[in-house]
Amino acid sequence: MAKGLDCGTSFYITATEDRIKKQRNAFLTVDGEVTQVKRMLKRQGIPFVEKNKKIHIVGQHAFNYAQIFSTAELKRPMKSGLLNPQEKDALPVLNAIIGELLGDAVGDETCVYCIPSKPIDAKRETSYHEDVLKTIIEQYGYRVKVIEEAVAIGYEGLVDNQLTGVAISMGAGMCNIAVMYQGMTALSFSVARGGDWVDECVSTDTGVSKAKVTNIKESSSTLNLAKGVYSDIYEEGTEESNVLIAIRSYYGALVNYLLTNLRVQFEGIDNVPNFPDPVPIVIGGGTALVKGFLDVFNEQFDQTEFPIPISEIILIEDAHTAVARGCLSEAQLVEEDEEDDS
Amino acid sequence: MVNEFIFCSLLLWQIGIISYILLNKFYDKNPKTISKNQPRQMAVEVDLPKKKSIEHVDVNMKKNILMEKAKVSNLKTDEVIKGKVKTQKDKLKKMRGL
Repeated sequence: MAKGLDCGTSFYITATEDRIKKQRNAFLTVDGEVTQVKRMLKRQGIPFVEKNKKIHIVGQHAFNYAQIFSTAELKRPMKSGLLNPQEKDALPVLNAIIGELLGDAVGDETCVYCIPSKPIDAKRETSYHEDVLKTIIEQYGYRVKVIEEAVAIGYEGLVDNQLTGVAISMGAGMCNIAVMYQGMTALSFSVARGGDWVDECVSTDTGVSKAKVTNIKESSSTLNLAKGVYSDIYEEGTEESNVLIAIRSYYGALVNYLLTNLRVQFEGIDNVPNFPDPVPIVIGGGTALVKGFLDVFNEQFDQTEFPIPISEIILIEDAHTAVARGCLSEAQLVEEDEEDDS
Repeated sequence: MVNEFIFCSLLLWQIGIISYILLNKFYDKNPKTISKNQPRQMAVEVDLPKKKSIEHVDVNMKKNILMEKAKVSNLKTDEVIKGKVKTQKDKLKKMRGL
């Protein structure tokens, strides 16, 4: 059975034809005597990973712990879309997460996973990240293929437009962009800013911990970036209202940064494809899930400054799983192609 | 007749010797001056084969990464959404002409 894997900074998501599985990509290292800690965690049904006499709580439980105990440091195996160089225990945790999500391959199964495009604002290469993920997935017996994250978004959102348009994946660590023309990628790049950048900036400006900001952003029922709703529901002066106002402000800054860099990159490439008809911008990814996101995007978008005529700006249905589903489509086509050949 | 011959002969010898001494003295004193006045050979410009500007070649970095699996205990997926997953596979397939 073909599988698609979205290797995100904040979530790892797998898609198969009959289910979607999500795992938060975070962990906490628990101090204390190993046997005792293991016994305690098992008793409470808390998932953990053991490596080199260290116990790590993995996934949503780790995230929840970090909300409750402000002293507990939530660790991230990935940072800015790539493997976290500061995190020594990242690989065994990632290995465990991927193993749990994919399971062992049965027969000749194909797994298509995604990597970010080369960032334009960070001195990082994507090759090591790509190789590590490939090695882990192959350990579980899969035949592996890799595609760019934004291209996976294009496979979900641009099919009705002959795979022509702009695909944007708004992730936690990065935003990935691909300008596609008839299925070919004319331009692709990433910027090392995403949902985490918003959280960090809001945390710095409001004095609220980053974990709490993330939690408010993901679960607040009153958060709506739409301008009209904004003044009616927020009570000025409260901690939450300060956070919500700052979140809106930084979302605007993030979208502006993204669109400006897209324009600059597009103007800088040779053989610019000519788009005779307006094309859509399709957006996916977890950072785009917040209510009112499209309002902020439309507010920042200025057709007169944008190098491509745009017909509409669309948020893909179930934006959080769009990358995983795009990878799944590719994996299914690879398997069908091979079946036809044999 | 013999006397005239001897006189002419001695005169010629004297002229010869004096000329020799004078020339010898002159050249000994200014040996370098003469060589300096020799026309210098100018360097000849040669068209060397021009080096083609070759840009660097990028190579794929494919490492053999060895990785041990961690000892995993009771790890469970945070969220599972069961049901048919909607994809655009059929449209993609049609588009690619598969």
